[in-house]
Amino acid sequence: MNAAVRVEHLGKQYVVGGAEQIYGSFREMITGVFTAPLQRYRKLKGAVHAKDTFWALRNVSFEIEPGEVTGIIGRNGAGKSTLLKILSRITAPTEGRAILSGKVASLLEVGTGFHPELTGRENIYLNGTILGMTQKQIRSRFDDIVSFAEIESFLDTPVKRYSSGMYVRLAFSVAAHLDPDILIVDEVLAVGDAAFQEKCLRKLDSASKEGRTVLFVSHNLKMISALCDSCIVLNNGKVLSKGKVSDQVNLYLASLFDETEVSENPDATEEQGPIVIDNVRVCSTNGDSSVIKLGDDVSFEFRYNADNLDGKAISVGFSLQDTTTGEFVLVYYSEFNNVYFYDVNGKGIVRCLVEHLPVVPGKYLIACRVVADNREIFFKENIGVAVIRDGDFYGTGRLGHRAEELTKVLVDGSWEHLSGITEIGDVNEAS
Amino acid sequence: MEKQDKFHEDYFGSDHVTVIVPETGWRKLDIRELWAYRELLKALIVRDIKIRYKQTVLGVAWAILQPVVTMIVFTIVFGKLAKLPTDGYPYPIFLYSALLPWMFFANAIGTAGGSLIGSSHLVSKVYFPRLIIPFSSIGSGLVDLSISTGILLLLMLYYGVPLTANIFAAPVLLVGVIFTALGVGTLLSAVTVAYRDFRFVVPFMVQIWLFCTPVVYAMSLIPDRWQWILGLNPMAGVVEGFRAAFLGKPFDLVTLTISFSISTLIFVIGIIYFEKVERRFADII
Repeated sequence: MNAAVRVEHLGKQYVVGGAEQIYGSFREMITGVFTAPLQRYRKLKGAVHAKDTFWALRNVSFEIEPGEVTGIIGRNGAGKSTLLKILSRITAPTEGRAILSGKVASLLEVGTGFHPELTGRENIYLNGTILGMTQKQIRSRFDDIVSFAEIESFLDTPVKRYSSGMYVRLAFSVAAHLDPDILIVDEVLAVGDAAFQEKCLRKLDSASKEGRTVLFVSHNLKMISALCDSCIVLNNGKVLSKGKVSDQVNLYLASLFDETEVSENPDATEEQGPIVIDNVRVCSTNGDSSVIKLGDDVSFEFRYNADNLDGKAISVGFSLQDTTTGEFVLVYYSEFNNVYFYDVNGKGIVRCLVEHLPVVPGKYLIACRVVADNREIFFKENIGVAVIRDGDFYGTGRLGHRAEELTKVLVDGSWEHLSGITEIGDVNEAS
Repeated sequence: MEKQDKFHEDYFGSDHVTVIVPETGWRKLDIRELWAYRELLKALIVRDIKIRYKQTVLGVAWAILQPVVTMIVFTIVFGKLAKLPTDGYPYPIFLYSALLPWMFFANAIGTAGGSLIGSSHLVSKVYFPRLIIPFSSIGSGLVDLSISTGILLLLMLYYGVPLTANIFAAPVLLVGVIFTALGVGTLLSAVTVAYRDFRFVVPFMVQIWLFCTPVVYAMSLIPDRWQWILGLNPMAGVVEGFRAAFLGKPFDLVTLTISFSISTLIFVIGIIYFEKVERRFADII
């Protein structure tokens, strides 16, 4: 049987610095006619360094059998999105080729082409057509789409009045009813509530059981493990490995620790924003500061380098990602406490003190983000590692050892027995 | 119906094999693929029309107001003050019959020019023949055109100018205008993606183009032996043709032929250029 997807030596090259030669402006083109000979002369003399081109993907080859569900993982900038964009025919490769046998549907974004002014009904038709369905096909699947999205009573409401949950449900529902042979899905399930995510996963799962080939990119390793048979790990635009999903996920997690492999993330160099957090230190304020134990008061110190923030109010946040499962156990922004920093300029430290750390022992990757005016102005994954050891969280010594086998996070509260009250609803009156 | 589905099946069916290879210079326009995507063209046109009349407060009134106000101002300036000759017709009708195709054309190339940039969210997220975008952007102008045609017929009734058999040429001429608008619009949309500031050039270009076209003045104002030069402007022949169709004047077949040939040439150039840069759009948009 022929492979459903065959990729042969695929490569994509972008121009990094000389980009203005492509983007350009009409004015520059006109002036370029006159200045071009001069530039060429300078280039010959070596005065102007023709800024490099950069390969987002290089020599990528793999095959996917019909009915196989394949996950694609890799760090930011590893080439996942570029690969999907090429396979979806949005951008052309620079070299190599890819052959896809069967009807292809790609879902790089949920709700492509949705228009806020149009009603749910109108958007189903519009979006369905954009994704490649005929009017007839949409009509015959219309009821399924609506009931899957659970938006029956809002069909004739403009989608601009939808809640974000409804919007995502409707958008995914249209895409879920495409019936392609090959489905290419980018991180689209990251949105939406847990129940609906579950429903979408079941839909994807049943699609694969019907023999559809699925290519699935996600940062959620748990989802990848649950859904995929096999997995491709991309690193620096190359296929690091391909094989059984469980092996690949472990391999990927291991590669995250490989400090020597600095990912050449094009986004990171291009998006050198007004603030950069270049280092983080995690230390305990109880006893030995270098050992962090469950239940300690822990200080997270972020070193920043900022300019041109113009006194903007920024919120700094970080997350902890479990290195064994890839799950995020903690996300914490200063804005949650209504704390914003105004006078950030030059070099400095932002410190976050977490009292009574509730995260169970393990190894966690720290990612860091800075937000200003509700827009992300800095993001870096894997900026540091926090190793949390076992500690006496409750101060009673009564939590059996190995909290990590029980749970991810612990809480501390108070317990009491309300004697004489027999109905749940009566509790408030009593207290 | 069966046959129509077959085209769609060819491109969306299970037997379709997609081969993705690097872009190599000139690409042949895949007309079959374009045809397979015709429902998308229709859906985008319908979307534009719906949004246009949903969003603007004035809605349909805007489609009436724009040509009528232009007509009144031009009539005062060119008809009453400059007293341009009109081959004996009342100036408002003389002007309006030419303003009809001109305004459609001017709006069409304006919207088509910015259409790709305006649809960047589609271009960067989903594949379809990109030609659909500038093509569909012209569609909603046709609704405006039919509204303003209604106004012209009312005006003719008011001024007592009878319709003649010439009116049957109007559909052909309309095809000519659409053809020209598609060609110029497609070209502009592709150029605007590559050179963003080109969008500032378009309004200026439209303004100059208006005065190179016999809209406010009559073709007969130009000495006979030089009229063919005006014909090189593809809109000149068509605009004068519209006037002849509605007012019952004789057609100037020489100018029309030249204009139609130039239109075709522009259309072909527009498509070829567009196809050449099409695959790069997602990278530079």
